[in-house]
Amino acid sequence: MHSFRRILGVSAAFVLICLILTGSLAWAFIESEYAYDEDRTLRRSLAGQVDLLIAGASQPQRAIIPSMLDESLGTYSYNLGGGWMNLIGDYRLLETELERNPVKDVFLAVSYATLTRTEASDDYEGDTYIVPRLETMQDKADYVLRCVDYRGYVSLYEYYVQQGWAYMLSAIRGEPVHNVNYDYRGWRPVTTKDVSLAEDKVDQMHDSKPLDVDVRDENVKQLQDVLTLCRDHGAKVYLVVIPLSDQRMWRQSGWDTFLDYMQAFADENDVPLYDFNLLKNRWDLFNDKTSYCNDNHLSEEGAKVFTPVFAEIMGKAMAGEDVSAYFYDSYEQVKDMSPYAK
Amino acid sequence: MSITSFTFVAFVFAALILYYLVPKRFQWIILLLASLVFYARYSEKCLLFVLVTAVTVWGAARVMQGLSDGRKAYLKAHKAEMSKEEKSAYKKKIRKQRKMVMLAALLLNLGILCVVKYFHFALAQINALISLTGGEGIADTYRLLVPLGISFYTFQAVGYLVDVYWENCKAEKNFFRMLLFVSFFPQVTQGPISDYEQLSGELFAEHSLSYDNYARGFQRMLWGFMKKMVLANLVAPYVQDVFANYSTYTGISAFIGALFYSVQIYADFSGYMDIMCGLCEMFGIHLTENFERPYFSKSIAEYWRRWHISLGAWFKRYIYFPIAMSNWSRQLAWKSRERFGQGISDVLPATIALVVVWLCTGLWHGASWGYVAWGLVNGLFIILSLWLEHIYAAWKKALRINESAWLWRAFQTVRTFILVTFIKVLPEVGTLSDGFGLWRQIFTEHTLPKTVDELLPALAANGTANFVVIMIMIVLLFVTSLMQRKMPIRDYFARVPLPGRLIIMACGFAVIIIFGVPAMASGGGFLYAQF
Repeated sequence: MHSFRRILGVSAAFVLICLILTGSLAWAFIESEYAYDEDRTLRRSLAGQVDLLIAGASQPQRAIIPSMLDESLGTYSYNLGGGWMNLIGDYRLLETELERNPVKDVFLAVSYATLTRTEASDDYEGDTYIVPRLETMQDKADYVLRCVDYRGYVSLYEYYVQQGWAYMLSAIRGEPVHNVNYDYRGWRPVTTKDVSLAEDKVDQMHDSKPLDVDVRDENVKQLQDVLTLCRDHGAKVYLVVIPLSDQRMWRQSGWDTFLDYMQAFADENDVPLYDFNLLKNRWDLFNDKTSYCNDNHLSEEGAKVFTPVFAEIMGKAMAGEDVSAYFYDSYEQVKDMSPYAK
Repeated sequence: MSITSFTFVAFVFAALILYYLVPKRFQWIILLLASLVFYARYSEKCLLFVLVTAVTVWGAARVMQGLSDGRKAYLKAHKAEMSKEEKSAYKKKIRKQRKMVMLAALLLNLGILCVVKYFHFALAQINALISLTGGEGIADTYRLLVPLGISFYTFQAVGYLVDVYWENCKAEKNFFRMLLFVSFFPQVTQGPISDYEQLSGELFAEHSLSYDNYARGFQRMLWGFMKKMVLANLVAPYVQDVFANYSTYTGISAFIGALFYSVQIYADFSGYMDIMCGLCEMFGIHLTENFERPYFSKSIAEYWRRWHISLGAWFKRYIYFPIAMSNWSRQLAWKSRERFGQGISDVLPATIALVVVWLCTGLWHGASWGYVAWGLVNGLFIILSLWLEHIYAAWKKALRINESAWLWRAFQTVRTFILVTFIKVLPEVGTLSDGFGLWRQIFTEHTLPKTVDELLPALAANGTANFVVIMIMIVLLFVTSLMQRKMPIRDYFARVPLPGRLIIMACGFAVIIIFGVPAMASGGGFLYAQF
């Protein structure tokens, strides 16, 4: 019994010291603006001004430039997009911003993974990014306890401690530790990379991997909750799909199934859906050599081309015009026109 | 279940709690269940292989024990009525039966090991031979399951089988105890290869919860995690890069890559051993030690007595001695004495045994010519030192070398470390010719400006902080190894007041999270697990 008590006491002391040591590193990072998307302070400073929100994961975050959007639409927008953002994260951020801003419209970006992914399949990466963006300690704790699968705790803990260490090292070295760009309002520019397929790979890669099209009821419910939240706050929601690279679409099959279930969801929930992968003039605007930073994301150059086009079409859609002429009806049509098909 | 994951740590602590909660006589059952769960989490199919080994070895041992007990009983009962010749004939008959049983189980288990491990290698050699005659090879479309740790648990089981045959130990009656001996989770993947007498005494004894065991075991686990996750995995990218592109590196950079490989494999394997020995210590079980500061050895032979000790001991016990002490070996020595003289006849049996042992050691480590060459080069050095012992002694006398002088000992240690490093890299670079290519590069390409230009950026490619941590860990490893000469490092550590110890350990934990966890993502699994 004596050994047992001693083991318990010493173990508890060890765990406590570990928590203090690593927790202080983690906390320093969470409360900083070290990561480019730790935008709590920025968003707080804009409270009461934002009337258009862009929400979603990393695709809208990299593709839509709020300042350019505002020039065209006459709005004051903020891009809430974030890496590996899940729908619960979208909900939490929107909840805060809808409360404190006179938001009229929300462009909610959905992707091929929105209704199919799980936290575990993403290795909890989305959770690691969302927690520091939440306003208060209570919000953060609530998110972790309610929304993160217990298996994700380790991922979160390791990530924050490592980032805390990186933050501390940067501070010691005199490197910048405030990396949130206030002018970008949530947009994240990324350098262009040539993502085009090598010629000898074109045939081999065509439809070589099917898209995961198993829609999860849980995700559908979460997306519906986001719609309800926006409507409750008097904001109109537009579902949008941000363009992927041609090679990404070329490599995978099942895109029209994605379009079908997404359209069905939109119809069922009375929300418009605009899929910018289906843009008829997409090859005049983007190409795999100069518009993307990787398979799934537009680069800074791509975003600068995409945002005005996006603003123009969405402006018309918001005004009630029919914009269907801008788009093809199916992914098959797009793939038939793809540079890789020629 | 990765050994370097929180899941594994949680699994160990859950097993530990159950272990000390159940009545002591059932403690081994918790270990068995934990071992089966651990192995099944890796592969349920592969668990079948472990079961086959356990069943066949247990069954064969029981039959041999039955024959042996029957023989004793029969001889006792018929002591008076049997002549010496009859007794001898009867013993011979029983010995033959026991041998047949042992050989059947041995062939089956070594057969499984050979098929799963060497099938592709053998097929490649057959195809190479066929292609020499202009024929078409056999398509290698088979993908065989390779059970985790098969080389380790098979050797352990075979050792037990032979020990029962030699009547060094009694056969285990309880199959489940045998199953635990074969599948014990801390050692099933990478050893140490224990003998039954030693391990069963530990596994089936009743253990009380002890603070000292717990604390010392936990400290050792933490140190093991640091060695593997931090040091081994941080040096791995540099080593991999040098090995993959050795022809583009200068000799010094390539040599540093080779030295880092020595550091990596030691930190990797001894780190694993520290984790597992520490874990077992928490359960009150003491595993055989596998390392004794091997890089401080003064000869290759000594190095192999201090590196992977349990494998060396296994080969010595079950291959070296049976060959060196066999009748035909002694006859050969006797005949060679007449022809070549005393000197040669003294070392001939040992030489033959060493060649076989090192050929087997090479093949045990991997199915490639690189490993065969690696084994034979190791053997060659040991055999040469055996044959040239008298010449060395004469040289040392002529040069008036004081063997106890620290400078001479330091020279021997450094020389052995460098030799060992060169031998180690041979099978690891790629093909055997790549191994020799690295050697050539080290000795021939010496452009100083290029070395300066490439070395520091390459070493710091994964961050200056990582490089600093590597150097600190190497110094720490060196200093602790030096200190161990006088007293186990853990005894030094025990002298630090408890708060200090806890803070040092917490810093170690933080280093693992900060440097080890990201390095694990790129560094991957344990090097010895592939053997």
